[in-house]
Amino acid sequence: MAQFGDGFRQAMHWTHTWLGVVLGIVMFAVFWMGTLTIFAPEIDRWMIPETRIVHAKREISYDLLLSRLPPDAASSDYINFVVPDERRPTIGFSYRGADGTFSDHELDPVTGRPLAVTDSRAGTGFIYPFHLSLTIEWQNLGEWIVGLAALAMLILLISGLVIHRKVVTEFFVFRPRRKARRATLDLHNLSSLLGLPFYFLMPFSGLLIFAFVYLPWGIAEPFGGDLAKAAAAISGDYDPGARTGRAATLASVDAMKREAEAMWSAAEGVPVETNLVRILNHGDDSAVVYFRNTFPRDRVVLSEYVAVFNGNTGQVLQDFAKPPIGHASSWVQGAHFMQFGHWPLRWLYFIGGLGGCVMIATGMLFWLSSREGKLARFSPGHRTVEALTIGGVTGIIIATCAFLVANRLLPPGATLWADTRAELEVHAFWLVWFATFLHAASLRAQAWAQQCWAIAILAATAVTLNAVTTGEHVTAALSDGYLAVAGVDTVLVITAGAAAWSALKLRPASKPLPVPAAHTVE
Amino acid sequence: MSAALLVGAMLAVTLGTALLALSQQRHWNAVMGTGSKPGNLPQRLGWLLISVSLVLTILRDGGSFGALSWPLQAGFGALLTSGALTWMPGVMKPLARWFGR
Amino acid sequence: MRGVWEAPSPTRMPAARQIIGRDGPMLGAWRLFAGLVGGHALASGMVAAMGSMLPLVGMPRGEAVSLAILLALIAYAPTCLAMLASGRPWRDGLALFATAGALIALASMF
Repeated sequence: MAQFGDGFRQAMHWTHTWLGVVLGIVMFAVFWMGTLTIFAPEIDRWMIPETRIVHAKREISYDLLLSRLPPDAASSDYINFVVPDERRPTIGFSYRGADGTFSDHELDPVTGRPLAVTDSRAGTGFIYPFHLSLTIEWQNLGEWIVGLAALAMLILLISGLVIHRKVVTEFFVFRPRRKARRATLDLHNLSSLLGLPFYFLMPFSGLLIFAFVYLPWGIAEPFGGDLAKAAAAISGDYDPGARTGRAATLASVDAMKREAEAMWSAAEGVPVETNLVRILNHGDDSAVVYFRNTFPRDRVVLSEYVAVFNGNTGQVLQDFAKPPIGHASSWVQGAHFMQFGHWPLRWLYFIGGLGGCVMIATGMLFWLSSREGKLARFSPGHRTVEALTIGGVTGIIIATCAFLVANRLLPPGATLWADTRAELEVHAFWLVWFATFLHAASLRAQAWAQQCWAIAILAATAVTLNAVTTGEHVTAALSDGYLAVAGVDTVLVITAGAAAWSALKLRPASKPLPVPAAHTVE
Repeated sequence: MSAALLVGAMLAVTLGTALLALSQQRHWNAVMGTGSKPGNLPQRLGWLLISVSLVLTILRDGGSFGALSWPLQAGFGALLTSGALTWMPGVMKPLARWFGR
Repeated sequence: MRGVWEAPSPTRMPAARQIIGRDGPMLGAWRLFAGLVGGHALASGMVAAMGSMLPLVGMPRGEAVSLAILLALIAYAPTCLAMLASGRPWRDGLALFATAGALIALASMF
């Protein structure tokens, strides 16, 4: 290994440093948005106030809902209902129209009528897609970039363990009063070690979830090159084929749902409910009805069961249950999606996610601070990394807060150059994020404190605007039973406080730190 | 019952990581001053408590959820321990006195 | 406070040399290419070969592919690390591509 450096550890050091510098900002963005995605439905409730409904268990008649389909849905090849639960109290309803575009609606869980809701992508429509693809849809490029970041994170974790010589003796060590560089590295090591299993699990399970995107040839090859066949064997997907053109009436979907849940509950020994009610080729004699328990409340494993019925006769066409290895794989994927109803664990995930953000941010900061007071500090490369780090860390938090503020400020029906209100919110996010990079590039290290103030002000503004525009301030939301709204507000208040505290702490030092003699050797 | 098991598991893992930290001379000195040694007991008891927290977590959550929640609980407990060592090592003194020599 | 950064390490080098390492740009780029692309080919080959061959001994095809995906994704990151740390990157990189090619050929035969 002589030609590479002074051995394996040094190769790992090189890998850790440069992979971190090059992909740190992507990893931070993905981890930050992933952390928020843990509470995506709660963010939806905050951003779409019309869906602030206290959930109660009700029998919903999908037959009734199907009898009131909009005209362009009547011959849709894809109609989907999402069964409401405590975190998503409305009935989700979407369908593909004749022109191939999707229409999404929130139905009132009591009346089944469409709710007139604020036009916003909110948590599920923006924060969640950003987490998995940075919202770059072209050729799945965003998913590949995020996949590369996930792979890089696994490599960084392993190489970090190799180069960290004092895993045991410095496990609990944090010395904030030491030099900034030392304190940053302590915090990097501490945050990395405390959440290590979680940090391994997240990128790995993320890659697993998108295995069909990342390894399509390998997965399709055993099925004669047909990826749809692979999806059918692995996930119980069902292809009803093309419409025949012969009109037919749908049998009772409610009866099929009862039968599916009875089959699953018998197999499992405990009640198992469906989350999805999907009708393919509606109105045609090739229609099928598809049920899946995508996100069970009481278990980690997702999508264990899929039942498919002939839409016209109500006969069972497919009763799919995940086989053992598929089950194990679904456990790993479910651990990433974490849609189960385990609140202490959800908060632990949130803390773990924030810990991951701290780990990534302090890693990038350490790279910068180990060049403080050196000539390298003035190189274009250093300045670029500095601006990317500031914009990538505080900048994306500012942009997220701006997204929330824009949501509360934009009037209903706002449009600009043919962009919808929901799109304008997203533009606000990107514009503000871009501005934070410019700000960071021009002000350099001073930008940290100012951007922390911006977070504090925007987060406080978001809380205030929620109270003013919806009347649901924290106490009102609590007394009305809207825990999601109160929770988002509380986290925003804590964010504002923490950002203001950081801003005060971050007032730029009057003189550059001296360079310790030990670091000028070589 | 479920809440008690959760609190018990969190307490056990926090105390366990605190004892593991105290078993290291560096942290022992930070809490008790120089001139004494922690001995072997804090380390053994620390691992015991951490194992107890695993058992309590599995009793509460089962293996499937427990495999996810226990590592995060342990990390959180260790975070509390690190915070105490950093900003208020004094709070660990009563604990350390049990093992003081 | 001796730690990793006190040891002689590439972070002492000027930025341009750090980025390319002591290998020179060609070898550094080869390591990355072989790790990422070769690793991806190896992962694809593993899934295809296991997915095609395990059913011959009675495992359901979907299960074989599920197992292969898990193992291939576990192997990917260490493969990249091995390429980045290898003492003989040309030989090891070519061996990696050859292995991936053999797995892909094997999968295509069954």
